[in-house]
Amino acid sequence: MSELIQVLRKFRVWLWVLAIQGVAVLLLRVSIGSSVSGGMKGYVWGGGEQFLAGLFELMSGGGGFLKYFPILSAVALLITLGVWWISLGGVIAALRQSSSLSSLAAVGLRSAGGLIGVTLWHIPIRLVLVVLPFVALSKAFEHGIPLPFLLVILALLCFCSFTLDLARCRVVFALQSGWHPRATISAFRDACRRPRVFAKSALWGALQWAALIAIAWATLNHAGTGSLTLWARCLAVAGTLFGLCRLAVAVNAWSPGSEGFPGSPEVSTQAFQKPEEESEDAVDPSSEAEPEPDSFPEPDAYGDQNEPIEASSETPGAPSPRDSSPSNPTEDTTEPRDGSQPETEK
Amino acid sequence: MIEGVSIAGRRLFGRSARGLVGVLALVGLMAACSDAPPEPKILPEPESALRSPELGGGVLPEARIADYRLEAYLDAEAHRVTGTARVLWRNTTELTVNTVPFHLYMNGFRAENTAWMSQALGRHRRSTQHEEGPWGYIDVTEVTMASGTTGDPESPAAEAIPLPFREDADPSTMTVELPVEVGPGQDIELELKFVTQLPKVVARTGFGDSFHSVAQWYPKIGVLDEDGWQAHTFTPNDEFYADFGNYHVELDVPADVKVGATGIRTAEAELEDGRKRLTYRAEMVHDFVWMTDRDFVIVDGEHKGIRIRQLIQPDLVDTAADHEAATIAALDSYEARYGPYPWSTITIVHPPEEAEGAGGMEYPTLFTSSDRAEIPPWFRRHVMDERMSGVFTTVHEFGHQYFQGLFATREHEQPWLDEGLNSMSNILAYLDRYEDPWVVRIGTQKVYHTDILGLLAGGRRANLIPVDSPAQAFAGLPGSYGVTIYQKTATLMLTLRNLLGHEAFDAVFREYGEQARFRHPRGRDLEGLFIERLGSNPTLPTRAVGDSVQLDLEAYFEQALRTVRIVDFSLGYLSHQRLVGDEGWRRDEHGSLVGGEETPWYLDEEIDELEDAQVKSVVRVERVGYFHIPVELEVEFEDGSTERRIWQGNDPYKTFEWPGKRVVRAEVDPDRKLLLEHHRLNNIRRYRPRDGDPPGDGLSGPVAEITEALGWVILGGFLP
Repeated sequence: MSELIQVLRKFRVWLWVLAIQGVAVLLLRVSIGSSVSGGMKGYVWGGGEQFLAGLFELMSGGGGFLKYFPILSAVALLITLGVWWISLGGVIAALRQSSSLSSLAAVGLRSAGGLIGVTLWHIPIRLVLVVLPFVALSKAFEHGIPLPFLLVILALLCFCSFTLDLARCRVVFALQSGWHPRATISAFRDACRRPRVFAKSALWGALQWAALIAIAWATLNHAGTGSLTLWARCLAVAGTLFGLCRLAVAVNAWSPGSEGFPGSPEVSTQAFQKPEEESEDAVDPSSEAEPEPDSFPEPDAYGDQNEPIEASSETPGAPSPRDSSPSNPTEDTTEPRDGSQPETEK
Repeated sequence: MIEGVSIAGRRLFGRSARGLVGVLALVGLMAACSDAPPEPKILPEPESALRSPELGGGVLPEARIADYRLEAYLDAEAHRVTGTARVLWRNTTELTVNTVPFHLYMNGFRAENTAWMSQALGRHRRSTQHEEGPWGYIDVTEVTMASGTTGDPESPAAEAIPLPFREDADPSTMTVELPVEVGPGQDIELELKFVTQLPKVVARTGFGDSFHSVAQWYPKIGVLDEDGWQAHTFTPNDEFYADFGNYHVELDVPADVKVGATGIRTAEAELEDGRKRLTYRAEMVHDFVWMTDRDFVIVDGEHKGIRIRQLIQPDLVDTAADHEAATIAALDSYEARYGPYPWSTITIVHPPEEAEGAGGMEYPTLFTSSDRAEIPPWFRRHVMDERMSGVFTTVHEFGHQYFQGLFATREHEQPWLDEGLNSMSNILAYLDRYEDPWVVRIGTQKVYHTDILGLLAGGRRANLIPVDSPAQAFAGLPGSYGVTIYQKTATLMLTLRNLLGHEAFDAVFREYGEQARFRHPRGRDLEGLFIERLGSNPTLPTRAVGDSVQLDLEAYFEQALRTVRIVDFSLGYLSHQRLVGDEGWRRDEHGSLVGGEETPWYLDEEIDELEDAQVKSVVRVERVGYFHIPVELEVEFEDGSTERRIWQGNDPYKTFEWPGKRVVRAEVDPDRKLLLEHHRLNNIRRYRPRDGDPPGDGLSGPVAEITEALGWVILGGFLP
C-alpha cells in the first residue's frame, strides 16, 4: 500500500499520465465519431442499440470512415508515444523524489532514447515469454486454457512488466544505455533476485490488468448504451493509478532505505562518471555471484540541487555508492518542494 | 537439451524457478486428471433404406429410372478403386435414343486442361491441387450390353455385347453407342468396367492420408427428359444432376477402415489378406458415395426413427453433440416446411484436416461437414460467440437432402433452385430453432443472418448477372457465384416472404415440397405455384392506413430473378411547412384589392411557434434503385403516436403530407421487410431531436464511445 500512498501524493504525476492518455483517446474519439457522423449524411441509424449491422454497412460503403480510421489511429498513437517517452523519465524521477519541472523535463529528454530502447528489447522478450506460451497452450487446450495456466501466463506478463520497470530505472538512474541489451539483461537478473519485490509489482500489475480487462468487459456489455464512457474513464483512472504503483515498486527498489538493490558499488560509481563505458562491468559475473544487497547506486541529482546527473557525476570527489545510503546527508536533508516527506524513505 | 535448460533455469531463477516449476507441474497434473469423454454409442443398421410410408411420406415409383449394381475394390495404398457398374436404365420419356451419355466426373481432375481444372485453376474453396498428389481420373475399360432390354440389375446378364464408346471433347463425359434404339417405355442394361484413381483432395473427392472420399467415382448415366439427354460438362460450379434409382453396392476394403456410405449396410464379411466386404443398399437415391478412414470414431444418434451417424475425427468427438443437435433441428424444420424425410439414415462425415476440401458437400443420405471453431467456452459465454462454424455447415448440408437429394433439380441449369432455396431454408431453420436467432454475438451486440444477407446480396458481385442464370454463366466471375446463387436467392425469397406474409409464403412452399419430391422441378414450377395459389397480384398484408397495395408476382420474379436491379429507397425529405392560408392581397366583391397589410412569414425557425393547425408535415420517399417494389413508411408524430402508409414503389418518388400534424421521425421500411435493400442507412430521418431522444445519428455516438474505451485499454496497458 505504500506505493499507493506514494503515487497518491504525487497526484500531479498521475494527472499528467492521465492527461497524456486522455488527449490521445479524446482525439481518437472525436475523429472517429466525426467520420461516422459525416458518413451518416444526416440520416439516423434505426437499429437501436444493435448497431453492428449499421457499422458494417457504413464500412462496406467505403468513404471517409475507412480511409481515415487507420490514419487517425496511427497519428494519435504516435503523438501519444512521443509525449509519453519524453515524459517517462521525468515520471520515474518524480516518483522517486519531488523536483522542479525543468529538471524532470531534462531527465525526460535525456532518457527518452534509452527508454525506447529497453521497450523495444521487451517486444521479442514478451513474444517469447508470454505470447509463445499462450499460443502453445491455446493449441494444447483446444477448448480453453485452464485457469491455472492463465494465471501462469499472467505471472509471466507481470514479470516482464517488472523487468521492464527495472530496466527503465537503470536507464534513468544509472544512465545505462537502453539500446544495449545489458540494461535489459541486468534487469532480468535483478528481478530474479527479488521475488518479494516482484510479488509486490505483480500485485499492482494484476490490478492494472484487471482494470483494463474491466474496461474491455464494459465495452462488450455496455457498448451503445451511453453508460460505457463513464465506466471506461473511471476504470482508466484506476488502471493508470495501479500502473504507476507498479512503476513505483521498481523505483523504490533503487531508493535508499528500501531492501537494497543488488549491484556492485564500483559499477554504479562508474556509471555516474562514465555512463557509456561502465555498463560492461555492470554485468560482471562476479557481481552476480556475490551480490551486495545493501549497496545502492549513486545518489540521484533530482533533489533540490536541480542539477542533471552528468553535472554532479563530473564533480571531483563525488560520493561513493556507499555514501548514498540513508545516512547520505544529501538525501536525508532534502525536503520535497510540496512539503511532504521524501517517499523513498521507509 | 532439457537438462541444460533446467540448469540454466536454476541458475537464473533459483528458488523462484523451483516454485514456478512446481506450479506448472501441479497444473499439468490437474489437466491430466480431467474426465475422459464418454464412449460413443453405435446403433444397429436400420432394416430398410427407406422409412415407412407413414413416417417417410413414401416414394414416387415412376421416378425410379436408373438402378445400379456397383462392385468396388479399394487399393488404399495406391488410392485407386477398381470396379464394375451395372446400370439398368428405363426410358420414361416419349423420345427414342440410340446413344447413352455417361458422366465421368473424376476426369475433371485428369489434367490441367480439363474444363474443371482450367476454370478452377487447380483450386477449390481453400484447397489447392497438390504437387505431390496424383491426378484423378476414371478410365472406362469396357462397356457391354445385356442381350435383353429388360431385366433385374441384380441378376447377371445372359450374354454381353461389347459396345463402342468414346470420351467427349471434355473427358468428364463419354458417349456409348447402342446397337438398338431404346424407345419409350423400354429399358436397357449396361455393364461398365472402370478404374478410378483418386486425387489428393482438392474438391470433394479424393484422399488425404488414410482418409478416402470416394465420390463421383463411377460412370453415371445422364438424364433423359423432354429436352433430350442432359449430361453437362463438369466444372467447379456445375454440380450433379441424375435420375433416382436403387443401388446395390459391394465394397472390398481394408479390414481396419471404418466406412460411411449412402444407404444402409446389409452385410459385412471378412475376407482374406486383411480385407472385408461390405454390402450396401440404397433406395430412391441419385448417387452413391462412400468414405473411409482408419481414424474415424463412430457416434450414432437417433431422431424420429432416423439413425444419425457421425464418422468423426478422434480429437473432435466432443463436438459431435453440436452437429447432432444441428441436424435434428434442421430435420424438424425441413420436415415441417417441405414434408417428411424419406430415408432411414443420415450420415455425417467429418474429413480430417489434410482433406479439408472434402468438407461441406452433400450426397444422398450422407454429407460432409466442417469443424466447429476452436473457441474456449468462457470466451463464447463472455466475449464472443457464433453459430456459424461447423453447425451451420451441418444445417446447410442436411438441407441439401431436400434441395438436391429429394427434389433433384438441374443444378447446372438453375443452381438457385438448389443452393439458393436451401440457403433460404437454413435461415428459416435457425428461426425455427432459436428464439433469438443471432449468428454472431460480441458482448451484447448481435448480428443476424438477415444482416449478413443484406450486405452480401446488395454487393457489387452479387449483381453482375441475374440469379436465374446457369452455373456456367459464372465462369470467369470469381466470387459472384456464391453471393448471387446462395445469398441473393435467399434474400429475394425472404423478402417475398416478408411481403406476402409468412403463412401464405410457407403454405406455398409446403405445397412445393410435396410436388417436388423425386420430380426434378424447374424454376417455372415454383413461380407458377406462387401465382396459382396466391394470384398474380396478391394484396399485401400491412398495418398501413389508406389504400391497399398489391404485389405483381410476375414482375417481382422477373426483376428479382432475371435482372440485376437493386432495391434502394431513401427518406429524401422531412419537413414542417406552414399551411397555405388566405393572407395577402385579394379582390373583394367590388373588384378592389384588399388585405395584404401583413406579410406572412415562412421562416423555418418560426414554424415551431405556429399552432399545429397551421402546419403540415411533408415527407418524401425516393426510390433510388430501379427495382419496383412496394414499401411502407412509418411516421411518428410529436405526441408519440405513429402512422403507417404503403407505397407501390413504381414512381421515382412519393410525397406524403399530414396537415395539422407534426412528424418528428420518419422511417422507410420500418419492419425491415425488404431484405434485398442493401443500403439502409438512408432510411430514417428525424425532424429534430426531442427531449429524451438519443443524441446524434444513433451510430457515431456508440462508435465514438467504443473507440474511447478501447483507446483507454490500449494506452492504459501500454503506457505505465
